[in-house]
Amino acid sequence: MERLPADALYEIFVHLSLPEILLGRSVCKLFHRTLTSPPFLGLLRPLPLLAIRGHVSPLPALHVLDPRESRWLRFSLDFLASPSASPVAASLGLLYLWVDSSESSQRSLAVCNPLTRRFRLLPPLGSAWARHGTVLVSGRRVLVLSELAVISLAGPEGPWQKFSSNLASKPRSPTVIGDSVFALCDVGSPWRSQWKLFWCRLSQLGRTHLWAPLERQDWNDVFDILKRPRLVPGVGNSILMIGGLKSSFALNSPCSTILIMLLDLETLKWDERAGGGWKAFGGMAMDSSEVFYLMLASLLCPDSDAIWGQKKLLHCFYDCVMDELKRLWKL
Amino acid sequence: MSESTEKKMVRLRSSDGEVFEVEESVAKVAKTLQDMLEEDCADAVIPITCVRAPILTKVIDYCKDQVMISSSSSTTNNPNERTEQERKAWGQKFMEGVDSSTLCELLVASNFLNIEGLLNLGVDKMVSMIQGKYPQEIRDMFNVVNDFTPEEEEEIRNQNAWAFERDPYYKKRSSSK
Repeated sequence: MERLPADALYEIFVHLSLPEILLGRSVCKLFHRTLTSPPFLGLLRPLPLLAIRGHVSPLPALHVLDPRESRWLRFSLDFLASPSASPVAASLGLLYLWVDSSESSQRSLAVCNPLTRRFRLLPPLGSAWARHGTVLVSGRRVLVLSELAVISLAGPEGPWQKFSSNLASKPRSPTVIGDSVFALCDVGSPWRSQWKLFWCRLSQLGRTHLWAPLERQDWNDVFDILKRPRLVPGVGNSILMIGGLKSSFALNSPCSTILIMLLDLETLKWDERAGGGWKAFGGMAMDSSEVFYLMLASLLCPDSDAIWGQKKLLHCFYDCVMDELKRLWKL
Repeated sequence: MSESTEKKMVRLRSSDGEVFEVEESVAKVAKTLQDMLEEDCADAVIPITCVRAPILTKVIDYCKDQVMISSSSSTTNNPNERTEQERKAWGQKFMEGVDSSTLCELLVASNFLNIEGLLNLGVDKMVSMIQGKYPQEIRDMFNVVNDFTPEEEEEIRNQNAWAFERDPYYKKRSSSK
């Protein structure tokens, strides 16, 4: 075994599942070196990640989907040299998070690879950005968005390039579909939010009026019925908008249902998803996992229909996702 | 290939000194030997320094079979031609009974001689042997020495334990040790 050339070992382990690769690392030093080396990890397809902000511990829980076995693996982020961290984006197998440094009060943006247990701080941002910016990662490109500007990291070492923006408020859940960014923006008053969909092209960041509203008269009240809406990429050229159904006009009243709307970007028509009509989401019944799954599948594997319907994927982290959604939508 | 022309022979010497005489077409299945023969830089006997005789025998068997398929594939209704399924079955049969140390040597040989098909067969076999095994089983199977200190091993286990903590099968297996 020791005589095997590295290429042959790569070739063998690249055919094995992620748990087998992780177990293989503890066989001997040669295996450990091989299976943590950048050339080997470069052969693996980027893994879908799901990070959930920590409730119990200040570090988030990170789940990695092994597409070969269709199961979720939990990873530790204890290698982050930070007492707490808050995940904001994942792309191509890398996780982006805000980390709090123990020395200064300002948080920094970091990127880490859970498979190599290595992390790196991105070039520093101003404190306003660190406090209010929304992070968006498309491929390897990192953007931080606010109502007044978009900053883009030109290379791994920087610098940040700044482009002016034209939104009424901080863009919410920006989502990349193809070459375009879509985001929700609150154009309402401090007392009553009014969501609107905006979009811009990544290739036109220098433009004066960067963001353009995307609206149609026949959309009616699609944004009025949702509370705390979020965008996630849909399958193909579509966006999913997910939110709690507004059950009353009272501020911060709890939601009892979750609604998923799909916007087809070809026809610009909204459509309800998740089995027609309002889907009751109250309680913790497992039969609501379909709704859940639709959302997670599109969130994690926007181009994969194949794993749709495999409920077992969900079971592994059902509890923690539940906690997160309950918090998000005040269920 | 016409029977009337005399077949050119090539001699190969294994690391333990045994000399094998094979047809040039058989030797040329190995890209490394093909390059040497085409550049005419092969000596009377080509030394295959990292391959022992029993392994070289197996490699030559493989190459002979490849020549048999390719030399007859141009004719129609070729009895030797294989469907994808037959090819797979043949590969499995060829690797049947190959133990782990022979397999490693075969992989080293096919890598050195650059025989892609044999390398793939070896990799597939290796994958099927490692699949679903735990570290100690892999060490036992391939005579790999665990060269971690207990502290190092503990640390790596802890790093990876997260990935399996919700897997009852893994828990059962690791706690039974």
